[in-house]
Amino acid sequence: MEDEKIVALYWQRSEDAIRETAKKYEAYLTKIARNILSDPEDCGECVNDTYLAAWNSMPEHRPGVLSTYLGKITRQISIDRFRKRNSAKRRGSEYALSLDELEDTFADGETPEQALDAKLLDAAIDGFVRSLPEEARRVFIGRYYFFDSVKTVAGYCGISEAKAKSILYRARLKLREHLEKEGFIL
Amino acid sequence: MKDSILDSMGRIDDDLIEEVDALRQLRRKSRARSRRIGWAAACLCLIAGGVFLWTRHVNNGGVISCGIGEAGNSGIVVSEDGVTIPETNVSLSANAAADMIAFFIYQGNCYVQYEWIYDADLVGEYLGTATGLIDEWTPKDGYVELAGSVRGPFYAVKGIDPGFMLCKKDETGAVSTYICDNGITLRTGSDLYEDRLHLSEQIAAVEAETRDSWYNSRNEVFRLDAGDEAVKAFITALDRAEFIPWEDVPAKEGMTSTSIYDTEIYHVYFRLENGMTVHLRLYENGYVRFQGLLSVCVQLPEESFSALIDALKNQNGTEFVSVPDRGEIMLEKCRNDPELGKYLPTFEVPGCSVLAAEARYYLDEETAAETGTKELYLEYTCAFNPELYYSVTVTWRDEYGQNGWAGPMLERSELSAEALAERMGTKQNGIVTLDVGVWYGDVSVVLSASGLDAEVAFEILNSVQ
Repeated sequence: MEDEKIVALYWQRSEDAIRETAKKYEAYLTKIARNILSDPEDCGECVNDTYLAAWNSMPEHRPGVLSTYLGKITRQISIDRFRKRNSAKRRGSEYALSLDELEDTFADGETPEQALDAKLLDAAIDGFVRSLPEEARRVFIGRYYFFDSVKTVAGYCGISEAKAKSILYRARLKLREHLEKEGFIL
Repeated sequence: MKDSILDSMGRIDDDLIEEVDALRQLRRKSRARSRRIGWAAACLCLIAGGVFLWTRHVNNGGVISCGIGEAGNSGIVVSEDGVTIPETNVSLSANAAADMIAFFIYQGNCYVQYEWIYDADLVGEYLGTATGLIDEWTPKDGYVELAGSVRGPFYAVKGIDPGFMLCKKDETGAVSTYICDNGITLRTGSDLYEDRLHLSEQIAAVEAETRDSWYNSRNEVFRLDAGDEAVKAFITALDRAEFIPWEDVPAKEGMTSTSIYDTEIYHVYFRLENGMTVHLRLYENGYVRFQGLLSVCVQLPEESFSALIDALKNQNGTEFVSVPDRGEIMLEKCRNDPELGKYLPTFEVPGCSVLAAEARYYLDEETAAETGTKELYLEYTCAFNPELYYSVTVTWRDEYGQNGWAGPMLERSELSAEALAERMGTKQNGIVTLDVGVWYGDVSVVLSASGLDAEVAFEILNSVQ
């Protein structure tokens, strides 16, 4: 079913909306959840929570691209769940590895000033991502938005794994520089 | 902070996410193209899978459609004038299997990629610049002049009607040709093979391989004598034969229509003097298709067809043609590059070999001429240790922070095993990594390695002349 029709079902408060969403996007959303959570049961619950969140948000939202809309919900729900898990359950996911990668460039913890500047940080990150050359932008989003493995990212970007790692390394350093220039205390 | 960064990444604008998500879906479905195989091979896979593409256009208030569809739905019209590949209003669809076709729109027509050609002087007049911007999620109003799934300048092909074929050149110097079949009428083979491709007057070599070799990418290509009577008779018959829609080819008795693909027996490659290849697919009962126009075919008389098949059978397995290894050619280009080649390290880790090599050039947009070397890239793997690999990138200082390196750099005077050891990291699995560059005047040499110790890394970087 086309996205527009699925969204219309949500707006009509038809339960078919969830059935059709699951039919079309379950695999897609499960992949996003699986990159963040290593536990299959957790993944399934996060995807189900995504359907509920979609049901609660439409109306009033009318997303243009349903996959992106749902994917963002799944991503955040999965990250929230990741943070509640104990350290043993956190191991092994691509999200955990992404955090490790960022560890070298950015100190752990959060200062009160930064907490206040969350919206500024959003804007700074968005600006940074836009400033990256096309290839680097794709690799960066593939790794740090979708949490695809470096090998997977390299595969769909048509570059070697070594080059993808190299691009990510450069991008992290540039991000640090960018955030410092924007006044963030790192 | 790192958590906040990843949270903020989750709130970047949708257009950024959609761009990458489209790429993810596309690659997942196809699991094909890497830079080493190219679009043409990917198209072959799709075709082997039972899908063929056709391209049409319909100019409807500036909106153009390029179509891709299943066999049996091509809409080709047959008349006394021949077969006419019509204009249809079908757009690339996320539901279509053929979602990775490289194409662009020029003068209201769709040009679809046919082949990659290396080291050929084919590029003619500059005609325009494709904007990219189209994927299978693009709405119909996105199909406008110069849009397509590829971007960059495109050119006429020397000696070929630009209404039929155009070309592009990428930074590595490779030329890709694009064919347009929009609205063309073909009566006999000569309308295509002689009038448009100039086959007879340009044959440099004739090669072939079995369908099995082609399908499994075994490259068991053998050469025929271009002057052989069977080859000459085949071309004569090919030129005289009348085109019919491929979907009209009767299935083999007792088989379903989709199994017509199982009747394919040989692939024949006419290598032309201009560097192009006329790639033909031969099927039982004399049917022949041109790889660049798969929606139509001709049927040859049994005598001339069988004569060629016999010649192919006699040659098959006797002496295979050495297919040029693109990687080796690129490696030689890198090593002999007059500008940056001398900055490539001469030391190679024993047991390691070059997995990929790439030279990228600055191109003049108007002429596609290479005006200088932009970057050399070599990637090594080691058979004795799969965890060990490294790559070397050589580029100019001006590229620093652009597409080139923007990480830590050492002056050559600072280069030492100790300095490299300080910059090494460790992955979760305990394997050491190193990403560092060294300035050699205006040139940076960057080493990106995994599983390499500092002493060996030093030996590599210190071997730059």
